[in-house]
Amino acid sequence: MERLSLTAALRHPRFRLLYGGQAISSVGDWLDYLALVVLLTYTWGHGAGALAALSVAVAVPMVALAPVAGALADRMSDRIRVLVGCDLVRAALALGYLAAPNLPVLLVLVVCKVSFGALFNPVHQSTLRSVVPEKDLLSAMSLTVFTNQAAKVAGPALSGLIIAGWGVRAAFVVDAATFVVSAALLSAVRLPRRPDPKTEATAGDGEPTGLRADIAEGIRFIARTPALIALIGSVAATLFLVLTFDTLSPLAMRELGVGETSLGYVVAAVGLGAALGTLAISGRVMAAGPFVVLGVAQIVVGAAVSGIGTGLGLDAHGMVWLWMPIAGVLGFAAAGIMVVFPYVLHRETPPELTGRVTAIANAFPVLLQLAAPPLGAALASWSGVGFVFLTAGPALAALGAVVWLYGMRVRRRSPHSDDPHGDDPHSDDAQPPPPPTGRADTMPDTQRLDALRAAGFPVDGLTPGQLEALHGLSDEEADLLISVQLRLQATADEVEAHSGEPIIGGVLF
Amino acid sequence: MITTAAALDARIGLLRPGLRATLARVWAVPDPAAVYPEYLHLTHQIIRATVPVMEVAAARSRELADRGDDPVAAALVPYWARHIPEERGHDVWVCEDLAALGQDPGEPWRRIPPAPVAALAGAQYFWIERLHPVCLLGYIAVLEGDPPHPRAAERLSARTGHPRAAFRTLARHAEEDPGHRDALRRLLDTLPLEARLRRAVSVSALNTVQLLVAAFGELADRFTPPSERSA
Repeated sequence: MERLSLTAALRHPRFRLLYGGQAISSVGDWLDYLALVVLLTYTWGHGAGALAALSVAVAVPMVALAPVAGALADRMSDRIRVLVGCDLVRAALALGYLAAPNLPVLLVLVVCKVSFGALFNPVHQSTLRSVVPEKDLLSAMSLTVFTNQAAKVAGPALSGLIIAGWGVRAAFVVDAATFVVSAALLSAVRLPRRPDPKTEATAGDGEPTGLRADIAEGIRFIARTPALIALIGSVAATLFLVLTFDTLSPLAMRELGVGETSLGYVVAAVGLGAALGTLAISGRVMAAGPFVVLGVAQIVVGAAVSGIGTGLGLDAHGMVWLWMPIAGVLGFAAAGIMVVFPYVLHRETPPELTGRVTAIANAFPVLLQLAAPPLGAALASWSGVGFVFLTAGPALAALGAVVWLYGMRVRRRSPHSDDPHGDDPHSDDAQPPPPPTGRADTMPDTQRLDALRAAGFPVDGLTPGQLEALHGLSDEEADLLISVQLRLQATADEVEAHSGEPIIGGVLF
Repeated sequence: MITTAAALDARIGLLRPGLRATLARVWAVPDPAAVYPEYLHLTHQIIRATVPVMEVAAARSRELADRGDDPVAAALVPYWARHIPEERGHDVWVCEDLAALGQDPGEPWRRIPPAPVAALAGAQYFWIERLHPVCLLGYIAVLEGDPPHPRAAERLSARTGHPRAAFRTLARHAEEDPGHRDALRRLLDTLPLEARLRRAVSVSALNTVQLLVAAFGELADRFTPPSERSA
């Protein structure tokens, strides 16, 4: 098996352009957020209420619009035009911050900008599948996660430099410029135009094709795909647990005697660990199976958090040398969760549903972002910060153990369980993978292949290439295949008797 | 990346052994000389629909393409324009083969097409009108995707004792269909098909196999003594 290269996806010119645009606008997004905080608190002198309103203005459109935006993304016939349009509108809105006279106007502009971001993200996700072959999907996801993590560091740092050098307004101008550059890069991407759904509906059979039906189809697809339920459920639970203690981390570090300067190093260790973790994830690692990797990552994160909780419980002080590597391990393992989540989402979702499925799946974390921190704060005030860490850490590890067991079970049931790919059929360049799931009303391919095998098809005799070519077999196709097979079995003896005869043929057009 | 043609071929390929075995049952009946004219009648019922159904697909493709927003339909228009003339008159070949057997060449036109054959072509009319003309490519992929063996005419002539002149339809298709099959594969791989239409083409193909197995299976049954049947 070839070792996956992190940069493998960059071989594809259209991905390079998409990735470049995403990297630049990600930096812009983080640059923008710090500038908004500075504008509200330092320039306008607002307090906690305004910051809370800003948080809500950022989160609410993501939750409220995500499913609709996802469904819209799947209906866009010219996705590049939509992406470029979103970038240009966001550039204009970022410049609009310069003219905002007060908090309400600024918040309206923020809501508008985040709303266009909520549309941009699922369209970008659905475009990804059109420019990267599945064998390079893991590389594309790793690069995307790595870049997002790097942007979280680079964006605020750059914002700080710009604000210090040229003032907060300059940060908004640079933010707008990042969107213009992103739009320029994206406009160079050429994709085959997708048929307009309106035309398909006209030419079609009168099935409901409204947005509501599209969103329902996305939800149905998730509900009928066990791998997605397991993924979204476990990652949502992970995020909920993480977010209960995440905002308490500065308090925990202070209780552990970590000073302000050292706190920066600890935070940097998390970031460095995450970056290294992203780089470390390869096809060989993923060959253990995405859910196995996810489970191990959750166990390690849980252990690290439990370690911090234990330190808090023991009232340990002056052990910065210990917390920095623990933070690094935590970041390293967290990268596994961050890469596996989008990777499995893309792998298990057919391209025509990618927008809405990723949008719906990503809406959960944002929703939890609103609910978990207050719960953590309440628990901390009730029983102390250490209690939150000592509760969340073991809970995370237990969750990881369940996910690991699930991953092992999937691995055993995989038709390729004897090979090193495990339940990751896309990890090897040399061995084309068996297919991921097909469409909204399909079962996972392993079950589909089981059904074909049970009907008497020689599934185990198919080559990897033939299995790959059966990618996304739908219900209708499988039903027809099995129906014909049953008919053939009704005359099985005669068919068998003639199956070895010289082929004459005779079906003519 | 798996191409559209390869994906379709993989699906049809699962059923190809069964379809071939069903046809082999036709040629292996105790009296192959008697089954051959009936095979020609059945084949005529299928072939007579070829050009009309493609003309309907061509008209629908032009209609969708003229709206300016259906690249699949637009790409199909030249294919139909090229392929319809290639297929025109093949039903006459079958009548000529029947005449070479000493049978009435007008007889196929007087027969009522059996239900599986009506369903075969009828499904295509429905999908062309109600879904998309690209569905017909699934039908064609099956019918032209497994050409008769190059020596099919020779072998069947020997097996049935009928003159070679009665096997010109098979011989001509054995010669022409591989080229048509390859052209269709190239077309499929250039079409900007979304998943829904890819599935529709595949369903059309598998439905075609299903009905061909039914039609040729019934023909084999008619000429196979009950004692030799498995059910």
